[in-house]
Amino acid sequence: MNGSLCAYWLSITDGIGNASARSLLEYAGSYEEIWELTPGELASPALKLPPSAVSALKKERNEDEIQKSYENMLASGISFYHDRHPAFPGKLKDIYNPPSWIYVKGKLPDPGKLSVAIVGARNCSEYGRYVTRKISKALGDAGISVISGMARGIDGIAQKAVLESGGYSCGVLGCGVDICYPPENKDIYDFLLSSGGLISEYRPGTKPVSGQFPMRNRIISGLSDVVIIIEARERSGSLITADMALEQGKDVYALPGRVTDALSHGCNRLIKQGAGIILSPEEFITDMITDRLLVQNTLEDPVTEAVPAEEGLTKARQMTLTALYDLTESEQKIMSVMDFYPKSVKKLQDETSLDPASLYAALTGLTLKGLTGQNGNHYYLSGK
Amino acid sequence: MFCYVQTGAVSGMRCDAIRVEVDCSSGLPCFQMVGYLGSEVREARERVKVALKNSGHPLPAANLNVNLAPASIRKSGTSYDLPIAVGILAALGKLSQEDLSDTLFIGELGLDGDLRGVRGILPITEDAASRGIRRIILPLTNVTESSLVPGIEVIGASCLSEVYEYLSASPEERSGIISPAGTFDIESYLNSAESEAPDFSDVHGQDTVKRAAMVAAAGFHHMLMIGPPGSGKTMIAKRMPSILPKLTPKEALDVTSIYSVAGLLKDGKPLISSRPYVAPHHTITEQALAGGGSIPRPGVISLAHRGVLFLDELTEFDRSTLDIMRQPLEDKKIHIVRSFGSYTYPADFMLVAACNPCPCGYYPDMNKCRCTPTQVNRYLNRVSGPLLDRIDICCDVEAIDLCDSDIRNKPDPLSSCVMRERITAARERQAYRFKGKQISFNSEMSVKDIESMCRLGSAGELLFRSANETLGLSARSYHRILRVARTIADLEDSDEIRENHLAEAIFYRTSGSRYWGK
Repeated sequence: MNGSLCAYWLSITDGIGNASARSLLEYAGSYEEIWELTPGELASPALKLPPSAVSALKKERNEDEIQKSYENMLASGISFYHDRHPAFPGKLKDIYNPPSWIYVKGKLPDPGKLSVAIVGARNCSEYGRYVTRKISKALGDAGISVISGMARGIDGIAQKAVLESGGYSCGVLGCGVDICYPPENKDIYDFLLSSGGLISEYRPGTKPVSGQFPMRNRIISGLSDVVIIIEARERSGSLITADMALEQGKDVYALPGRVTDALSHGCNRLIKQGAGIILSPEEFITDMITDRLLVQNTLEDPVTEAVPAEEGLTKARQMTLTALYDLTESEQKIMSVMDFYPKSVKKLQDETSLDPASLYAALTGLTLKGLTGQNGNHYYLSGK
Repeated sequence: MFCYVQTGAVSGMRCDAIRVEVDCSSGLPCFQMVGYLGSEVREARERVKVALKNSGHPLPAANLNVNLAPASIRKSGTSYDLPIAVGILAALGKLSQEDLSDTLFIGELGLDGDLRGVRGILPITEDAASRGIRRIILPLTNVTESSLVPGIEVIGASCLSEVYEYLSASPEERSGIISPAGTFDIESYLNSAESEAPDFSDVHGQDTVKRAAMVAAAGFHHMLMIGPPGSGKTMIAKRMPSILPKLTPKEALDVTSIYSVAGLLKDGKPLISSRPYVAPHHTITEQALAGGGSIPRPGVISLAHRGVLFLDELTEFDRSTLDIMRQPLEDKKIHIVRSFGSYTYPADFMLVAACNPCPCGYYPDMNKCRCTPTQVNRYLNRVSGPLLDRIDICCDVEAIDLCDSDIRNKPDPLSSCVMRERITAARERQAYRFKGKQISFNSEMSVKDIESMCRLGSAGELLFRSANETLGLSARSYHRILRVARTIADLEDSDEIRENHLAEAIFYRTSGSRYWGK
C-alpha cells in the first residue's frame, strides 16, 4: 500500500474526518504506517479517536477493492492528493484546520501565480453583477487566478467572466467534485472542467449539505492571496469567508455600496473595520501587486488611469449613443436618468416626467436596442 | 274534462316551452302527477291542493291526472305551481280553455294561495314573446323583470284568487281588476343609472398604471397587475367598472338574463344597469367558477359577463381552477356537460388579475426582498403559461409613499370622468370600424379582421421584426400585440397604427415575461 492509497482509504472510510485523520497521521508518522496500525494501537488513548472511528478502522479491509475503487475514480478524471503529496497546494497547509486531502477535477491553481478569491451574495444586485464581471475580466486578463465557490450569484458570475476572458479559475465545492451544485450553474461547471479546476475535500458522490458550505470557505480563502467581497448582507456566508481570510492573514477587499442598500451593509462594515476598498479593477490590481512587490510578466505596464465614475451617463457618451442608436427624444431623456442601479418604471417616470404612453414606448425601444436590461419592473443600463 | 296550460322553464340559458296537461274524470278520487319530475315539482301537488282549498276551490272527489309535457325534459323548480292550479280550475270547468291558450302562467304558490316570485323570468318571457304568446301571468315581484320584454302583456297577481277573478271576468272588465304593466324604458333607465363604482381620482400617483387600465378598458383587453402588497392593485381594479363604457340595452338584457337565471336579481332593481364587477376569493372551487350543480347555475365567470372578473392574489388560486378559464377566455362562453344534458352560459368578461412578484412581495427591491431566484420563479409559475399568454396587458404597480407631500399635493389625479371620455371616443371609433359585424371591441377581432384593420407601416414592420428577434414572440402574441396596438391608436385618435403605439403594446405584452423569464 502506497501513501496515496492509504490516504484514499482513510478518506472513504465512514467516521474518519479531518481531525481523526490528522491525529492518526501525527501518531503514525505517515499514511503507510496508519495502514499498519494494530487494533490495540488504534484504541490507545493517546490517539483520542472517537469509538465510531476506531470500530470503522478495525473493520476488515479488502486491499484489492480499495485499489479498484481508487483506479475507477482516477479513470473518471478525478485526482486525489493528500497533504504529504507534492502536488498538494502549499497554501492550504498553512491554514487553521487544513484539509487532510483534496479531490480535484481539472487543473489545480498555479502556485507561482497570484490568486484572488471573489465571493458575494447569491441573490445579488445588478450593480454587484456588473462590477463582478468587470473585476473578473480584468483579473483574467492580468493572469491572476480567481478562486470561488461556484455558488449562485456573484461566485458563478465571477468564475464565468474569468474563464471567458481566458484566465484560470478554480471552484471549491461543498459537495463531491462530480456533482454540479447548484444545477443551474451546469455551464460554469463544464467550463471549469475544461479550462479551470474543481476542488473539494468531500469524497465523490457527497451530496450538497448546508453544513459543508461554511467549511469549504476556509479552502477558498486559503487558496488565495487576497479575498474580495462583492456584496454581502449584514449576516452573510461571504462574511464567514472574510473572517477566515483574516484569521489566515490574507488581505480582504470589499466593494463599497450605498448605505441604503441592504446588500452592501456587510461590505461597508468590512471597509469600516479596515478592509481594502475597491474603486476600480485596475487600481485594485495595481494595489495588490505593489503590496506584494510581485510583478507578473503579463502585466508589464499596469493601467493606472482611474475610470470615470459610472453614475449616470456623461453628456459626451450620451451624444455618441444618440448618434449610434438613433435614439428618439424620450429615449434620450430616459437614458439621461438611467443608472447601473436598477430603477423602477415609476421612478423613471417621476424623473423624466414623460407621459406613461411615451415612457412605455421608449422603454420597448431601448430594450430592443439592447441598451437596457430588466430585473422585474426595474430597468438598468446594460453597459453597452 | 281535459285542459292544458302553457308555461316555460329554463335550463342553462336555454328555454323550453312546457305544457301542463290536466284531466279530470270520474273514478277513484286521486291526484296524480307525471312528466319526469324533480322532487320540488312533486311537492307541488300538496302546495296546489291546499292553496286551491284556501282560495275557495276545494278539490272534488274525482280522478285528477296532471302531465308536464314534453315528458322527456326533466322538470325542476317551483314555477309550475300556478300553471298546475290554473289547469285544475279549467279541468273542473271553472275557467274556459280559450282564455288560457295564448297565456303563459308561471309562479310558486304558498299554502294560503299567495304567489311567490321565481327565477329565470326574463329569458322565459323573451322566449314566450318569440313563440307568439300574447300574455304572461306571474307573481307581482317578477312583473318589472318581465316587462323588460316588449310585445307581451304582463299581468302581475298577488294571489291565486286574484288570478281566478281576472280570468273569470269578461275581457272588457279585466283591466279593471289588474292593469297590464307598462313596457319598461330600458334606454332611459340605463342613462339615468348612476355608476356605483368608486372613482379613479382617489388613486394618487399611479399614472403609469392608470394608462394601462385605460388601454385595457378601451379595448376590453385582459390585464394583470404585479406589485408589492399595499401598492393599490385592488383599489385600481375596483375602479375599473367606472371607466368601462356604459352597457348597451342589448348587453344589459344579456347580463340581466344571467342574473335572472342565477336568481340573483335584487328587488327593486329589475335591470342590471352597470357592468358587473365580480371578485371571488382565491379559495373558490372549480364548480363555483365555471358553474356547478346537476343542473348547473351560472358560475362566477358568467356572472362577470360583459363586466370585470377580478382575481386578486392570482398565484394563490388553485392552478386547475384557473385553467378552467382558458377555453372561456377564447370562446367567450362556457359549455358544461352534465348527465341531464349540456348547458352553455355566456362568459365574455374582462379578466383583471393581481399578484405579488414573489412570496414576500417585494422583488425586485433587493433591500426588502429576501427570496431566492428559485423561489421567485416557483411563485410565478403557479399560474400556467397558457393563461398568462391570454393576458394582453401586464403592468407593474409600485408602492406609493403617501408621506411624500409632492404626490398628495399634485393637482387633480386623473379622474374616471376624464378617462371615460377618452375611452368613449375610442369606443366610438371601434363601433364605426365594426359596423355590420358581430363584434364591438378590438380584443374580439379575428385574425382576418386584424389583417385588414391593423396594417402596419414599414417602420412598424421593422420594429416588429426586431422585437421578434430580440424578445422571441409567439404567433399568438403577434396578433394579441396588434389588437392592443389598435386600441392604443384608437385612444390617440389615429387611423394608422404608428410606431410608438406598437412599441407601447409590445411593452405591455413583454413586461410580464421579465418576471417569469421567457
